[in-house]
Amino acid sequence: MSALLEGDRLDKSFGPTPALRGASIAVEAGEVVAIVGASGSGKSTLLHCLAGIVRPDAGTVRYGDAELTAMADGERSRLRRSEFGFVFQFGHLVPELTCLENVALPLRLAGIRRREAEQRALEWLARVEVEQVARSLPGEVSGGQAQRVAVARALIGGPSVVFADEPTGALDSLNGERVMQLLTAAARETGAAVLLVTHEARVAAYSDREVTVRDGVARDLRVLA
Amino acid sequence: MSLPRTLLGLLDPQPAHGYDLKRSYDQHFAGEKPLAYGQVYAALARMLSNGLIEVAGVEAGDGPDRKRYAITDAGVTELRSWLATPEPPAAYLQSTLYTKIVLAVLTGSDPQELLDSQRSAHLAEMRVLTRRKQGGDLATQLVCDHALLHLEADLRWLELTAARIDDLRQAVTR
Amino acid sequence: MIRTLLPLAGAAVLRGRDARARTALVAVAAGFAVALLLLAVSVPGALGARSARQDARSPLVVEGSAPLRLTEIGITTGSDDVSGLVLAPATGRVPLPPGVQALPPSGSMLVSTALKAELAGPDGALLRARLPYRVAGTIAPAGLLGPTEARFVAVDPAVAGAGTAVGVRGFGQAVSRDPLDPVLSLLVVVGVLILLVPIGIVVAVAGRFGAERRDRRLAALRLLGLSSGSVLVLALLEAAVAAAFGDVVGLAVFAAARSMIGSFSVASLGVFPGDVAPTWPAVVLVLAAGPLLLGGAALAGLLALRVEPLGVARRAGRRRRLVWRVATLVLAAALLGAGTVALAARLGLGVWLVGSGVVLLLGAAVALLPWITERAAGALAIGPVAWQLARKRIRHEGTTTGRVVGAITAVVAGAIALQLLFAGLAGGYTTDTGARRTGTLFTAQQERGAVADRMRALLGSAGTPALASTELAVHGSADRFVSLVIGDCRALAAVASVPGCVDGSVYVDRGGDARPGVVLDADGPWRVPVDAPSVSLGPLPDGDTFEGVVLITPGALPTARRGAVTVSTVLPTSAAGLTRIVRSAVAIDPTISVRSLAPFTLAHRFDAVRRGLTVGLVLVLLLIGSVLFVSVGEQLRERRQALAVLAVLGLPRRTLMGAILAESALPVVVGAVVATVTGTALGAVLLAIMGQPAVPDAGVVSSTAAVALLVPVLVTAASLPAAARLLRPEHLRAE
Ligand SMILES: Nc1ncnc2c1ncn2[C@@H]1O[C@H](COP(=O)(O)OP(=O)(O)OP(=O)(O)O)[C@@H](O)[C@H]1O
Ligand SMILES: [Mg+2]
Repeated sequence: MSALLEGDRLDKSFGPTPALRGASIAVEAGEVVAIVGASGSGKSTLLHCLAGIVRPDAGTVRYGDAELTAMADGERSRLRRSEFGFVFQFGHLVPELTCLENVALPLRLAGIRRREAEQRALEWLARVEVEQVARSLPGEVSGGQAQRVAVARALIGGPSVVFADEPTGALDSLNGERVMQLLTAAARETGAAVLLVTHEARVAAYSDREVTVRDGVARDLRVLA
Repeated sequence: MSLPRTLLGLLDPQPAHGYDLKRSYDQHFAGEKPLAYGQVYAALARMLSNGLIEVAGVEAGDGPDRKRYAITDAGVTELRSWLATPEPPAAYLQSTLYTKIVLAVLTGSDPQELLDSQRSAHLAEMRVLTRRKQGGDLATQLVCDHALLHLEADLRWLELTAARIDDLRQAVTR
Repeated sequence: MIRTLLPLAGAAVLRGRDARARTALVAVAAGFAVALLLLAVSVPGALGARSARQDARSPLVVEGSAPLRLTEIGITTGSDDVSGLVLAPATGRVPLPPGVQALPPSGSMLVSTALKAELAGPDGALLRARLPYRVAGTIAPAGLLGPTEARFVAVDPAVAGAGTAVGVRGFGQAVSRDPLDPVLSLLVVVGVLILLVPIGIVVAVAGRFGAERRDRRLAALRLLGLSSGSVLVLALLEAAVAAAFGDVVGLAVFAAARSMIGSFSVASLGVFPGDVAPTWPAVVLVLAAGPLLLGGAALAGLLALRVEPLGVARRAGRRRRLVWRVATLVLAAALLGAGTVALAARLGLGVWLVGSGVVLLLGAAVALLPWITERAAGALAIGPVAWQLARKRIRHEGTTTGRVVGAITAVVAGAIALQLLFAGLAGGYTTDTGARRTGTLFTAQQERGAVADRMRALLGSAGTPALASTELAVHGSADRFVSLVIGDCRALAAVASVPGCVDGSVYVDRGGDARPGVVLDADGPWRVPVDAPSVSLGPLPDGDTFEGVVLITPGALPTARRGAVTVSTVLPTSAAGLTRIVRSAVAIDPTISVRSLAPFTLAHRFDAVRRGLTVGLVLVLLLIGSVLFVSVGEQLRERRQALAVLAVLGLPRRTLMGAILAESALPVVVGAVVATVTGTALGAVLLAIMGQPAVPDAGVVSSTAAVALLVPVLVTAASLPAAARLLRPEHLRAE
């Protein structure tokens, strides 16, 4: 059985600090996987390696048939643009663009005309229940609204994998749960896999299964088996 | 949870038949496991004998029980004082799991394994609750959240314990 | 891709108040540079146009009979130069000077608009007396050098016989003229560079405003899948958009300056706006300079960073190295040295060598500044808490304030060098006119002695002795002449001691052929009396000095025999009845010249260059001041959080204010020292290159430095209220 996204014996150190020590993980298409573990255990680093944002010192990351770890920056960027979506703790929205333009951005980068891109962005904003902030700048909306905008932006391009690092970290529990509901529902609908880093069990409960990271080692029961 | 006191609360707004009591109990509190009629009548009988409720009327008919029950003044007093008394903070699982962990350390098996599998079990249960919550009405959601938050608290404790497992090892093996 | 990136760049530059303020500042700074450069590249064209105009109206002189006789007349009243032609048309087709459609009737004149205004003005009385012609029309711009030129073309047949009149067959004589003096052109080049270096620094600094925000934006876009190359392109596009605004501002400022140049007369050096036209390649080059500079600044900033999807990392190994700073200094010295040699050998390359040496020297000074500041902060280890905080900041990050101070340092160093140059060179460009008094000098040349006597009598009657002079050939020789100074006894007594003088006396100031008994040709031989006493002649009132002169009273030699005579006298400008005398004098001789005298005059061109550069320095200082103001505000805003932490820790506000002040003060003080040293050295070197004694004037140095240092002091003072407001507890909450 070949997984959609697979990290194999990943090592990564920051200076003398080892962050990953032979972590392995496999993600199937369309499944929601929670990465859990203590603070500093290497969850974020693992996520970044899998997304091609951080290059591991050793080990390979495979996406489909392609090996991310062997790609040049340009190729990895293209992959991020067309196949991946991101929701991080602080939205990473472009502060100078309106929420609508932020959501439309992945489509624009894919070469879709502005009118159509913004039309679809508006639909997505409605879907995550924040169409009223379409014309606002990210600095002018609440944290929960910004995260919903980020969810819309992550999913609008029809990615195969959405990477979410503490997407509810800055939100109260009601808002956080709503964002998780919207994210997982939309992902299931579009068939996107979600890789979710969180330290909140209630957020992890939105996943199909969890992978525990301890001291830079990922315990992925599926890989172990 | 005290069943008699819950029924007392359901009787407080207006008198009701045993059948109505069961229905509204199931609606508000039962979750997956509905209340058995036998439990209802046992509880009602006990409250009748304690003078907390009284029979407000009997209707003619061929049903098994056509009695209508109403709350007495003593019942109201009892209900109010119960509602005003805080629940003793319960220590559900720690006792068992703590015993297990200490035993694991003492017998030399890996307590982290124990913690990991307990976490998986907890998460699996929480997943079920989350799914039920997403499909359910407000009452279901509130009930599920209550359970979820408790399970989450357990998990937090697990994580704290996992982080201090080495200290624990020193403490118990000394 | 560009189609997607361009709107992004536009949004980054224009969305939000902060972004717009930043862009406006960048646009103004870049606009200044563009306008200044456009003006600089227009200079050759403007000078060429001016020469062409001058050539077009220079008369083609012919001997013998001509369709037109004319005399050129210059009048100086006060500080204004008036020039013009008095025409005496003969028969046939009369050639017309440029700007004149048809000759005005006899006794009237065409005037330029500037002259018309002067004639009508309150000080026009003397001019009206000197030009007793009716105004019959205006001279078209084609006949003028500049819009402020005061010029006239009069028709007066009486000048036909005047001694200064020449026959003319047309206009359009190519005149050979001095090229701009090499020292002056070096001054212009160095001056423009000294203005451009700080403007360039300011533009670069302004281009890095909001860099932190930009880094965050670019990181967010990297996460969305923009490659590091595209991010670079985006940053360049942003710079280009901002620079495009700069070009627009620059063109607007240039257009405004160009239209103002018409009414802005620098010592009658006014230029027609139409003549200030840079060539297209030059315009394109200049307009490209802004984007290049801003793009370069953005690129330099980005190359030191790695923009990653998760944020921005500084590339390793950033330590200020002394080596290349010193190397720049050495290279600058080498270029200045080579330039000196090349200039001495009269190579055109020299100006450019010296120019690049100046740029490098200023650049090296600016580059040394942060290094010295860091060392100074490291060395001054003891002091109050406020100082310790400021030290930490200075040592750990080169602050934007530091970079702006770099621009100030460059401009102050440049200003000191320029002022030293001006002070040193002014001596060379101040001519001692030799005039022993101020007043109005009258000079008239007459063919006929009788007319000269009438003129002399008229001018003498105004209360000031009037002298006439002429040259007579030594009898029997063709090329030996003796000067004669003619005046009545009162007039002669003013320039020599003439004991026992009566009408008919003759005196000799010995020298050359001037001696008693010599025979001169004066419509027949005339012998200087053998017993003529020897005297010593002092300078004449107009400043002329003679050696070997025969002094005569009118009775000694019949007027009819004297030939062409020059009469001159100086009347106090305030003399009563001056205009009446002028009117009478013009009636006697319409070609009489009237000039104001001052003992010293500063050469016009030099003065114009000096004034232009000084105005430029002031504008640049203002620009830097505004950039500094904005950067201080920006920095305070960026640091609000850090300040909040310190305030929460219980640091008193006074200490915080002290830290903020000290942080700006140290770079400013170091900048002042560096600027003074560099400026003095540069001034001395440039003076030496220009062949002047290289002795810096301490007064010039300190006053220039003081004036320029006022800018940061004022800016800091102006931003204190804002800082105080930021430090109020309610503003210190983290955002
Ligand atoms: N950029 C970095 N530079 C240096 N060390 C780093 C860097 N990023 C992570 N680390 C170190 O690597 C280890 C793993 O970090 P990581 O961010 O992956 O942990 P995490 O599991 O996401 O923690 P948290 O739950 O607190 O976010 C930590 O010890 C951390 O200090
Ligand atoms: Mg993390």
